[in-house]
Amino acid sequence: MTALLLVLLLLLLLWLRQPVFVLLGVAAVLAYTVWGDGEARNLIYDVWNSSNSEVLVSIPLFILAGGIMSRGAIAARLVEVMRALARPIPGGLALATVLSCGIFAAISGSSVVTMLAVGSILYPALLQSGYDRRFALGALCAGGTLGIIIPPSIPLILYGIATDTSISDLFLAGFGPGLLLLTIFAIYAVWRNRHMPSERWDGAEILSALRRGAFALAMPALILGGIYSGIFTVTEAAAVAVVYALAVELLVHREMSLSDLRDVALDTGKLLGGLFVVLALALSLNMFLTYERVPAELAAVIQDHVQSKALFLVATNLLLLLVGCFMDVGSAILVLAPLLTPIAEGFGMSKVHFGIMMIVNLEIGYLTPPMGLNLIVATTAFREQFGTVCRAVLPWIGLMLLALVLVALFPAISLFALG
Amino acid sequence: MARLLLPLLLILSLLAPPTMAQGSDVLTGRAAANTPPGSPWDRQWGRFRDNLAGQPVRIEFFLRSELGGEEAMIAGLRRNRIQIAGLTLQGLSSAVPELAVLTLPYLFESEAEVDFVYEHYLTAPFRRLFRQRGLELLQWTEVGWTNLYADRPLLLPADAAGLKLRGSPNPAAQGFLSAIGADAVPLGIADLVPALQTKLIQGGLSGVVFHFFVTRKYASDFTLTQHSYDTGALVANAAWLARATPEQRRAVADAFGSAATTRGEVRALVAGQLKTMAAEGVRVHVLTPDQRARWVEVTAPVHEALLNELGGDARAIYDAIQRGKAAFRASEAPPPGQAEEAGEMMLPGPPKTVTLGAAGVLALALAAFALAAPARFLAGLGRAEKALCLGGFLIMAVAVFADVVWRTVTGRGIVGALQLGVVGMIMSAYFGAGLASATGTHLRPRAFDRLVAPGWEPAMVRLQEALTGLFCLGFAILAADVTADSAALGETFPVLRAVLWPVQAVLPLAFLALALRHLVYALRPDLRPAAGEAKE
Repeated sequence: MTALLLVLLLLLLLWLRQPVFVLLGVAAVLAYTVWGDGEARNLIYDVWNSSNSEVLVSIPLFILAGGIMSRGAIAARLVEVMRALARPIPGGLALATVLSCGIFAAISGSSVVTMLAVGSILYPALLQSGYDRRFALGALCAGGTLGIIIPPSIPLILYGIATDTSISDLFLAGFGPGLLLLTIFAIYAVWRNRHMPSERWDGAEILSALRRGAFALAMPALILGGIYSGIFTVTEAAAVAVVYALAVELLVHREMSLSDLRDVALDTGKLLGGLFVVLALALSLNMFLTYERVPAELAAVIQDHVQSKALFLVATNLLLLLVGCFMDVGSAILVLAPLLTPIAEGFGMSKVHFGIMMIVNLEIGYLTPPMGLNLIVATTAFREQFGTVCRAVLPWIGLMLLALVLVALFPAISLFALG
Repeated sequence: MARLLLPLLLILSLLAPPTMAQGSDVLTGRAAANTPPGSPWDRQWGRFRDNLAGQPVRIEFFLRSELGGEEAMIAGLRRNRIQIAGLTLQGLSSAVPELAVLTLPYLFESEAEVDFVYEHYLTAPFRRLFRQRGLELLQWTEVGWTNLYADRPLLLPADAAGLKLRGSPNPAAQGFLSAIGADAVPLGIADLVPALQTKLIQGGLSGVVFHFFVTRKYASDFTLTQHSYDTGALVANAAWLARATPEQRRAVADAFGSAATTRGEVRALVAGQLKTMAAEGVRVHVLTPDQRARWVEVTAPVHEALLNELGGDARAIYDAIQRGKAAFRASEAPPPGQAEEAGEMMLPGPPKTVTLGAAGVLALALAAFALAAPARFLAGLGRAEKALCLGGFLIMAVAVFADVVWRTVTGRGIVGALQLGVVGMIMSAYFGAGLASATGTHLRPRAFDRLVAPGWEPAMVRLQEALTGLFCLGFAILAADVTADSAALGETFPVLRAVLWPVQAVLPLAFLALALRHLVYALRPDLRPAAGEAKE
């Protein structure tokens, strides 16, 4: 009865044109008070704890770096280079987008950061080059998820710690599924854009673009080189990206003024303001579900009722897909990995293989409403409608499900690198 | 979006179990910790669970950091959202700063000395300090000696000079690293392994057990500097425990096993793990007496510096430790009863009322201004939000970038730089929410917009804005209450070691600003941003 009243209240608020943060906030307050400890203040603690997170710092900084590059000349010059290089391949820029996500995934360990870092440059480029808006959104949202399977990966580290599994083995095992997903994405990107016009390479154009874009091209090298040489972490790389972009735009390209910078920062502030409150409330609801042991209860149901390995694989994957819709990957791993891994071992699965399957599955959660983080962030960062973004990722979810089935059925995809 | 929110509510309503009941005869609660699977702490918690079976106590366990890091656990514990937690001294020192004294370098000589001093000289005063913070110290647990792991042997302090070593934000650990000339890099667990792989850090401080479980594959050498002794503690919410019957209290206190048992379990494991590491090819180094003397000499100034920095009861605790050490050397235990002091529970009181009162006055003043001159109010509010948002970005970018530059140039990072970046992000994000309102760019589902007759449109707009404003006002009031609570509890940032509430106050202030803005829009719809800017 209470649930019905809650649904009716939400419908009423929708009719009364309330923004998403109010709808989520009302739902959260009621959840905390009706099904939780009866303390609405706990919601504020969780909002605060969600906000007071060092992991999130890279998000506004990458958005700001993207804004500076877009308002200045870096993004345009990078696009010139990519266009010149991709001319002979139909859908070349689409391929470049997917591969860029794969490369950045290899440094970031985070889905949202990968999407933002690549998307801030390539989303406008794809649109300018005539690619379908939905394809561009889907490619970036899905490509971003590679960040958590291609090592280094924060979720793999959490899984290793939570289940006492070798983190280096998990990293090695992550390469196979990461490359599988990347290959599937790349094939789809080229196939989907096979009718895009292709032209011959023009050496003079390539040279000119490379010369004009030298400082822009140095940026990924700086970021990758800085991370891999141990000069800075991925989070710090976001601040380096901001400062480098600013220095290049103000001192080298000189197509941007200080007042432009102020406008970019304020635009980023607006985006961040729209995004962050929703994000904090969504993360708080994750915590609420954890406190109330919802995922643990679901895992217990599986433990009690599943008797065969095949059924276990199906039930676990369905559970993880459901959980992925409502919880972030980190929380889901910390709660479910210790509960499910011993059952998986009981059915003869290796902990490493199960962990990889779990991460590949939870990756899909970044693309599934209502709490898919990539959906929420993309809606704000790329200024598109939530429904548009949701529809854009549908084919990519299908591709990821295909990869998930392959990873679950063929352990060698994960374990070949371990010998 | 409507279609997307409804399933969430249905799931919540169908799946969420009922709230834990506080029955008259059963004590219920949640226990939280971060215990690696297979570790001695994991087994101890298993024993705790087993021993409580059949007792009139029902505990739900969250032992893998599901409820957040130690900072979040302590906050939950102090607010009775979590009732029992197993925490490290590092984490607990954010609530009881005097605990940092216990991890000063070369404070203790041996495990026997540690046991003696803790039992006879530290338990009683710390029980009192914990009670002052609304917590009950159930018992000390065990972590063990802190050592150094790296990609080389660190037999003398000079060997560590200039190396990038991960140290916890604990002031004693930071002081130790600073004294030996190392670059202290405070990193979270998630960043630790990638940082070792990419050589962002070359090693760090760790107990044997943590190193064995998390980092042993990333460092070729483990030097047994044994420079500080880290214990943890099993702590309960004092008010929760006070409501328990004597039988329940005894059951909770005894379930973990005696301190001697838990110590023995960890110490036995440490010896085995060191052998395993050596068998795996890790070079384990034991200091000679001369080498150890050099470490002691170089790090000795940290004691006085930290005592001056900590203030409070830190010096009294330090003096008690020295008396305990002297008594241990003389093999004398204090007379029975002398060490035990009665502790008074001092729960938060007046400061919260004062803080909330000030917040209320501010809110009323702003509301009066908004009513008297709405257009000027909105213009001023917009300027303030822009300034704070830009300031936040500046803090964020400068703090994080300066840390990189400073570390590259001088070989030393800026402690707390990333935490400062978080402060900047919080400012930008929450004051940015006001900018989003001012330009109508908050996400809003528009599916039902056409269900309103055109004649109702003006009234609908006023109602829409009034409701948003009232929600934000309610959120601001709750946030002000939580902020006042935080101020009353004296909560601090663990790395910056600054009080939390001034930053936490961004939440109530930003939501108050949002509330006033939308309420002004309800009164004066002509001041709203142009229609059509908002998107779903």
